[in-house]
This record gives sequence, C-alpha cells and structure tokens, in this order.
Amino acid sequence: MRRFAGFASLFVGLTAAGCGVDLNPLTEAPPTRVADLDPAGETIALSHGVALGVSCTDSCDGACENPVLFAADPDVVSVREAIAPSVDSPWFEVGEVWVLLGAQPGRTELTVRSDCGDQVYAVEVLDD
Amino acid sequence: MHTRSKLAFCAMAIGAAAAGGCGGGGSPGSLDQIDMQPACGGFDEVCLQRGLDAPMAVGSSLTLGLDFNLGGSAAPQLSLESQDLDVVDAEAMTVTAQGEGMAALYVVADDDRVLDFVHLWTLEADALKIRDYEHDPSSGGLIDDESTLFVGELLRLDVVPLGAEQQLTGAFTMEWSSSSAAVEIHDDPIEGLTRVRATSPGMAIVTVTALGLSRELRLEVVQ
Repeated sequence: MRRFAGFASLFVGLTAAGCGVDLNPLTEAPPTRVADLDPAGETIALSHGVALGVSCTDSCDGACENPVLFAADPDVVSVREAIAPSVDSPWFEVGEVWVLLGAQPGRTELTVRSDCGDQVYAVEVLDD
Repeated sequence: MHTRSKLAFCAMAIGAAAAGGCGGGGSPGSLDQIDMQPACGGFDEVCLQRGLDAPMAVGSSLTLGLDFNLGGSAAPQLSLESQDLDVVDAEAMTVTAQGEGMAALYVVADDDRVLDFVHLWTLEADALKIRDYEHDPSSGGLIDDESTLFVGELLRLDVVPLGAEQQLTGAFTMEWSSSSAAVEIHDDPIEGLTRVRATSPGMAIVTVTALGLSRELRLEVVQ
C-alpha cells in the first residue's frame, strides 16, 4: 500500500533501539518533492511547502504515551496535531499523529518526547 | 461584451449527462481519511477526469466537496486551510489559485487538528484553446482560428486554459465579444458554454478573454 509506508519501519524502531522514541512517516511527498524521514539516521528532509504526516512509537511498550513534538524553530518546520487515521490491523494502532510542514528553507531540530524518552531529529527544509 | 462564468458548478442535467457528472475525480487525502471532490462544470473534462491531480490555472477557483472515510462517524465541522497563501487561498470550501507553485491544503477539524491534507499545484495559463460542442458534442472539438459559417449556423464554445502545454483546471470568468453584427453572442443554457450564432453575411472577429489571456476566432458568415 502506497500510504502508511512507514509502518514497516515502526517495528524496526521498536526492536532495534534501546529505550527511546521514534517518529514514523505516514505519508509521501508529492512528485518532484522530498519528504524523507530516517528514524535510524534521526534526520528529516522536507521540501519547502511539503507536508508530512508522522506518528510516534517507543521502545517501552510501543504506545508512545503522552507524546509531545516540537520544533526548535517553528518558522522552518511547523508542527500541527492531526487526527489519527484508523488502521485495520490487529498488530498496532497509529496513536498520536502530527503533520510537519516545511515552512521555509533552513535547518532546525525537531524533538519528540514521550514517557519513554526523547529523540531529536535534525531537520532540513530544502528550497525547491 | 459578454461575460460568462466558466464552470462554477454543474448547472444543467444535460451537461452532467453529456460529460459524465458533476463531481470531479476524487482525490484522496494523504492520510486517507477524506476524498476531496472538486465541483466540476459539465464540460471541464480535466476536472472530471483528474480531480485535484490536475494543476489549477492561476486566477481560477474550485469548490470542494468532501467525502469521508471515517469509520463509525459522521464528520465534525471542518474548514480548509492553505499553508501558502501566495499559491492558494481557501475560503469556506472554495480554493483559489493565487500564484504559481505548490501548497499544502489542510482539512482542519473544529478542535484545530488536521484531519487530512493534499498538495495542490498551480500554473499560470499561457494559452487558451476554444472547443466547439455544437459540431462535436461528445468531447468538444477544437475549432480552427478561421472558420466559415452559414447564416443561422451555431457554435457552442468553451475555453480551456493551457499551461506548459497541459490542460489546467478551475472555474474562471471569461468575456466574449464580437467585432461586428455578423454574429451574435449569447449564454448557452449549459453553464460554461457560450453560443455564437451567425446572423448575417460578413466578417466577425470573436474574442474571448480569460485569465489575462485572449484568443480570437475569425469567422466569415456566408448566405
């Protein structure tokens, strides 16, 4: 399925890491634009103007309890809470969802925090 | 001067029947929770076939209908929110292309959370083409820039904007005029179409202006 491509990485994040929290991509970039979220490399690249749906998982119980997501510079990447899509799967729930937007070209940091821990992502918004 | 609004809505049942319906091709939101259906004019084939996948012409508008894929629930109160007002603005359920580019369009619930989103593309129109549905009712054949009509003959015309050689979508206002009384210009009963009727022998230059562009037809009317 084209959408929710990040679910595959959800389990990787749960099993490969120690105690920690990860973001997972739920959507894809439009053609010719970039929306790359690399949980292992802890990087996010977004084209200017592109929105990316993300959810979080953690290595405690996967539930990502009481998550908070914030950007060091919200002028570069804006964070908006979203309503989680329902997923027909017995294996997982999507949990909290946000939409990231490459608001203007530049670099900043994005922190995801849950009861399980913190994770900081280096974000680059590309001018294209 | 004759002003006509192109394709603000699917006005006539005959138009809908001819072209396959009012609603455009649904464009699913990125989160798969909403299908966004632009309200297409009966003859806006780009809108009907490609929905929001086609670029919008700068200066044009589309009114969106929302179909929900929410299990066990109707939809909450929603609004549209453009993330780049230089490219697209949104008022109520209508989006208007303001400039070239790409913009994320959020569908926002009444608690300010995003329910779904799409990316819209816009292009400046760089040419207009004119189609005639009188002689090609199914698909609207392109009309030559110079044509000969018999007195009493009718053309039923619409205008398609092109940008970078692809057809653009969106509703817009167009103005029709004639240089002489050899032809008369009237509204067609079907929204989006304009009638040009040959009334007396002579030459007429019919001009349509839309989206900052114009296109002329040189018509010779013969007995």
